[in-house]
Amino acid sequence: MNTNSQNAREKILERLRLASRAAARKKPDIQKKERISIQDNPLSKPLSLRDQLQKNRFEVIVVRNETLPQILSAIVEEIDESRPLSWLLGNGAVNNSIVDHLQKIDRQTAHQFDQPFETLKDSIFNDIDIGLTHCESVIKNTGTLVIQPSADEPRTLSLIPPIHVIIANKAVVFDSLDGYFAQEIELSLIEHSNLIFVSSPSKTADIQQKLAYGAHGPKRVIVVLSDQQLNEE
Amino acid sequence: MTPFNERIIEALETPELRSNLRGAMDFLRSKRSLSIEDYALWQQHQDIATDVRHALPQQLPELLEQLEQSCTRNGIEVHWAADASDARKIFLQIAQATNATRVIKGKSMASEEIELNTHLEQHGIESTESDMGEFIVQLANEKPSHIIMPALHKNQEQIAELFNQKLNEKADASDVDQLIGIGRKVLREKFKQADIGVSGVNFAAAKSGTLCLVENEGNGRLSTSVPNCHIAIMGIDKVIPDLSSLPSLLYLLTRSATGQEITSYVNLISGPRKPDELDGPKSVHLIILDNGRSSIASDPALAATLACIRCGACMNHCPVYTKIGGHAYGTTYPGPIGQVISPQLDGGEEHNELLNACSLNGACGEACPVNIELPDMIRELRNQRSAAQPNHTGEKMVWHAWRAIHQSPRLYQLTSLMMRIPGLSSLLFPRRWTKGRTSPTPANNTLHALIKAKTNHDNRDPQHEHK
Amino acid sequence: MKRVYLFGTCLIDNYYPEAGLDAIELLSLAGFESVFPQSQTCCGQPPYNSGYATQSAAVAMQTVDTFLYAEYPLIVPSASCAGMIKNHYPVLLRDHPEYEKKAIALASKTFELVDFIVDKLPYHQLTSNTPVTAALHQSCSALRETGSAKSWIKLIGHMPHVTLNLPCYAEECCGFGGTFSIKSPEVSLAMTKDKYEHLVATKSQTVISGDCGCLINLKGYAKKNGLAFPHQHIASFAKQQFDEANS
Ligand code: SF4
Repeated sequence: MNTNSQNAREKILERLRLASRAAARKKPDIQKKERISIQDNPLSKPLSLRDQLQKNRFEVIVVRNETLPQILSAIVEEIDESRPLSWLLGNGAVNNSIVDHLQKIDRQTAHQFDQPFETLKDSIFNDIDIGLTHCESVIKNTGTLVIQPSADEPRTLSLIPPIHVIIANKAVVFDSLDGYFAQEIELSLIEHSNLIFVSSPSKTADIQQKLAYGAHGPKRVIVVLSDQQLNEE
Repeated sequence: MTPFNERIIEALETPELRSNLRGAMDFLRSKRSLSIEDYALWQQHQDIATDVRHALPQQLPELLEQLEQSCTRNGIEVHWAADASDARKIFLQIAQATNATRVIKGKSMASEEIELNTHLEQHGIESTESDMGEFIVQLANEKPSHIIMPALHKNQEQIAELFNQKLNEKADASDVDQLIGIGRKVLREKFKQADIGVSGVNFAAAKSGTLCLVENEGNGRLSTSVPNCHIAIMGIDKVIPDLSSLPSLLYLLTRSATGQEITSYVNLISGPRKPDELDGPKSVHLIILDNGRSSIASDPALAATLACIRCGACMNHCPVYTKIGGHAYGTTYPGPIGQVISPQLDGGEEHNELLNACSLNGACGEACPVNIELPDMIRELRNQRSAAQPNHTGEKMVWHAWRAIHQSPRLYQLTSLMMRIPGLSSLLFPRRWTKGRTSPTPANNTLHALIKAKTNHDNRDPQHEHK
Repeated sequence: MKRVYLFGTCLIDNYYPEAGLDAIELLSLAGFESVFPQSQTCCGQPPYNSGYATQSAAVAMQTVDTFLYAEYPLIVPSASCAGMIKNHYPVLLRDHPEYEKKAIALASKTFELVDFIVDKLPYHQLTSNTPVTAALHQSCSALRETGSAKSWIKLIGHMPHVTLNLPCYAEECCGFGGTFSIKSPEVSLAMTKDKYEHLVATKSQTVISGDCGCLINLKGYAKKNGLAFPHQHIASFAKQQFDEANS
């Protein structure tokens, strides 16, 4: 910190200390006003995880006992593109084996994020169609997937490619954001300098309030879950 | 006629703007209202958030120091700026030290406050807004007219026209996807080339040193992940003790702002790229900006304005904002919250005038998710303004006379009688009123007189019975 | 009969005195005898909202003294003035040691007229069946200061022959706002124009409201532009329904 910033720091903190000492004037209790602009719009019943995710515009693939190659074929089918597709994955044993299997599927090429971003930047921006990441926590009532970028699965994997595939069939399902924050957040923060709560594909309503997807991030997000997580009979 | 008044009239006389505003406000109000599924739950979150945010002014010194420590521990470099010029200097030093020539910006009202773009351009650094709304506004050489939806004053046709002119694109006004596609294409290049990414901060948790950013487009994530260097700018009022209240704050913020249960992305940043990581900024800087906020903290009657979470609900529900839009205010923050904080942030007599543009109808206070009683604040600022006036100013003298009359029942009744002298009552109403409205004619008799005549009512008034 | 104080308010006193008389009649139908102290003037809201708290406080103290003499509840046929006394007197007078407690005492026994009588009126005596359509202007104070708008709707709900219409943007301000309409006349007028048009669009025979400031404002706009604005204070409207029944 340079001296200028140091001076500003002292000045700001001093002013704030003075201010907080000037105790707030006590206001008499005022009868609580009716807030008419707030009304309930109760849902008939809370949405299931699958419905919530679909409402958020995720494409959901549910797996039961499928093998990895079967799961990957299902994803490729869901993507439903006739042109050759180029994938980017992270590192580590799990990702290595996905890469091996992907290569065996028609028209799919898989790359790994195995060098610093600077080296791969152009190709990530220009050539990659699909980024694949894993996810360990899902939040039910908001339909949120918690992405934890790491050395194995860098931040931009889930961000720059137009399609994002999230393998979440091993994830723990939390009922609400409150639950996740109460149980998980401290640990996650220690391990990850960046945490992303993804609740829909990238979108914007900045042009005359009309919703458009794929503003800057992925336009499509495909989520793989297991039937157990969905808890659907 | 003051400049503010001129801008008001100009806005009122632009039919296209009026209908763009009405459309946007209808949209935002109904989205918000529909997003509240369970009022009891809403209130629970509101209680938590209100407690945390209203305790803030008192806790600021400790929380900011704690934030500084935690961020530093996490590898985020912390800088302090007492005012806008401090903040600009700090920014420029960081940029020049890394020979940066291109900056990409996520949405940040604090950066609007310090007029960062203009400053950087003056020093030969290109600065590009990447939020679609901000990008549109920047292309048009304008300022945002709303803190959440910067371009809501423009319609689709106007935006297509702008893209045609400024970007040389064949923009199709009827196809929003295509328009967004154009923005995406142009801005992707900018992301790729940028040396520095700028962001605001929605909340900064002191305990863990975590910056929380809320967005839908992904431009905020790109700005904070792709360039080598990330600079976040936050007002001192963005700090919260820890992340435990974040779910409640988010619950209220996204619903109040755009009626969403949650935004597409909630981005928690607690440091730069780690040694074993392959991407992310190599350095993260946090500029903590005061710029008048500490003086708000020192005024007990106004300190609660620092509880604001910048959701925009107050402007969305303000009938005056709905009529004139954000530009007419001439301030970084428009609408009710702008009327309250601008006089203190940007300083200046001129902003005092903003206080007139409020009918104290209460819609803003009711909409505010963190219970900031904005009408009370506007009234308080009006009090402070009149207290600073010398005694002989016109308005003060009027109210002195008014007091004398209404403090004395006899004078009051006498005045009521005089108002009934033909021609006199209309004098009560100044020309600024009678220009648009006929002044009312007093009834033949006052209620006082009617009751007295009818029932000799005085006898029933205990004050008289006992005398 | 139990007694109540009636605060006529300066606007009713001067511009709608019949609404004050009608309020007395309604209170009597509900079983209350009204006491109208001649020493009452104004609640002090005009300078309060304009930023002249000192001037307002002086008048507020005069009102407090007038209505605290006996323990009768204070009934106000105006949501705006009722809200001023209920919500703002305790704040306005908190720096006047002698009056702070009194203000709180007065606030706690103050009621907007319809809030007070809506559950007490003898609706069985209401035999009028001439159908009538009325547009309700809820007023910002009735919505957000006292919550009386609910009682207004409930009151009319007891009158099956009355069709009540709410205009679109019912919760938006009519543009009056006291000195706002003088200091920011252009925006104010744009708001009034909208409100007038939304009320007219309901195609009702009359407009009713429990706040005279709004009515004076809307009427002034209509008159200036040569437009019709049939309207009534809600007390007068309600009283009329009982009258017809009794005659
Ligand atoms: S004052 Fe309240 S409503 Fe307005 S922006 Fe701030 S938090 Fe939102």
